[in-house]
Amino acid sequence: MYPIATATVGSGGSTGVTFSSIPQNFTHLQIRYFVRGTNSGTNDFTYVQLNGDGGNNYARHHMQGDGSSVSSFGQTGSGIGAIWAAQVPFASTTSNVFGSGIIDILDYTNTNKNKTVRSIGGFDANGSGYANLSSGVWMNTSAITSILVSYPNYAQYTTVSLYGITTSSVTGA
Amino acid sequence: MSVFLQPIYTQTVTTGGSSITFNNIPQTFTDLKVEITGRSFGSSNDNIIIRFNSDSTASHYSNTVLAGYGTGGASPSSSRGAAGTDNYLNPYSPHLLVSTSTANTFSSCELYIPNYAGANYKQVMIDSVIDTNVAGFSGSGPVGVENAFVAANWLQTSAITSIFIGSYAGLAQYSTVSLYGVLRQGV
Repeated sequence: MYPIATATVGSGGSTGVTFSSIPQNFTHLQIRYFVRGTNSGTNDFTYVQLNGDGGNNYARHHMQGDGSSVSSFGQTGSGIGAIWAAQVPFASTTSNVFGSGIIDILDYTNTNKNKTVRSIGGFDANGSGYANLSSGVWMNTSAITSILVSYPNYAQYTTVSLYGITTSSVTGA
Repeated sequence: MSVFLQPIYTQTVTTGGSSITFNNIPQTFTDLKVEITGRSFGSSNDNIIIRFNSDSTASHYSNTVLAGYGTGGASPSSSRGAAGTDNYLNPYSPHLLVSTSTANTFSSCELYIPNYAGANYKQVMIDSVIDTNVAGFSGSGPVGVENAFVAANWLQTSAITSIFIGSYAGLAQYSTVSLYGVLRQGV
C-alpha cells in the first residue's frame, strides 16, 4: 500500500479535492478521509466523481444506521453525476467533530469492468451521527485516471488521502 | 504501531464457472485481508461461498449478516446462519451479480481475518457491495443492489493455511481475488 497524494483543506474551505493523473501501475485504489462541512441546514454526503464525468452514468446506494434505526436507499439515472460516500458532519454538528471513511476502488484499470466503489464511514457526535456502508457504480469500463472527492463546502483541516495497492506473487501461495 | 499490507497472491478467473483457492498461505503475518471483484457465471441467484483448509463440516461455520438492498427492494435486515446450516461459510450475503445482470459489473468485497494463525476460532469480517442501475432485491431472483456487513466464524482453532472462494455456479471470467498479509510491527 503506497501513498499517492494527500490534500488538506485550508482556512478558506473547499468544495472538493481532485486527484488527477493517477498512476496506472497499481491494482486497487483506496481513499482515506477525515472531513467536516461548513454548510448549514441539512446534512449531506461526500461525493465521488470519476474521470470528470458528471453525466448520468452512475448508480449509488447506501445503508446507514443513525443510532436508532437502519435504512437503505439509492438513486439511479439522471442528475446524480457522482457516487455517495458517508454522511459528513456540518455546521450545526458539535464543534471539532469530523467524519471519517475509507473508499475502495478495486481493479481500477481493468477495461473489462464498470467501476464499482465501496465505502464505509460515518461520524459520531455524542448524541447524533451515522454509520454508513455505501456503494456506487460508474457505468464505464475506462481506467480511472482522476477522482474528485467533493462536498458543498469542506471545512478547514479536512484531509483526503489517496493510496495505491499493488499485487504481486511474492510467496507462491 | 505501524501496519504493513503485503500482497501474497492474486488470481483472476480466465474460464467462467471456476473458483479460486489460495494454498500454502504463509504463517508469518498477523492478519489476512482478501479483496474480491466477483460475478457469478450462473443466471440464478448466487453468492460468494468460502471454505478454510478444505473443511466441509457444516457445524464449523456460522455467520451474522446486516444487509440493505437500496430503494424499492427488501428492507434492510439482519439474519443469522447457525452452525450446521451449510458446509461452506455461506452467509448468502455477499450476493453476486449473475449472467443476466447489468453487463461488465462486478461486486466489490473485502474479507478481513484477524489472528488467522492463532489458536482461537477464526472470526471473519466482511463488507461487500454490488451496485447496478436496476432495482435491488425483492426477496427472490438475482440481486441487483446490496450493501452488506457480515461477521462470520470458522469454529476451528487450526491455523488457516488455505482459502477457497467461489460461488454455487462458479465465478465469471475476470473475477479477481487478491490475498494480502497484514503485519503489525512495533516502532
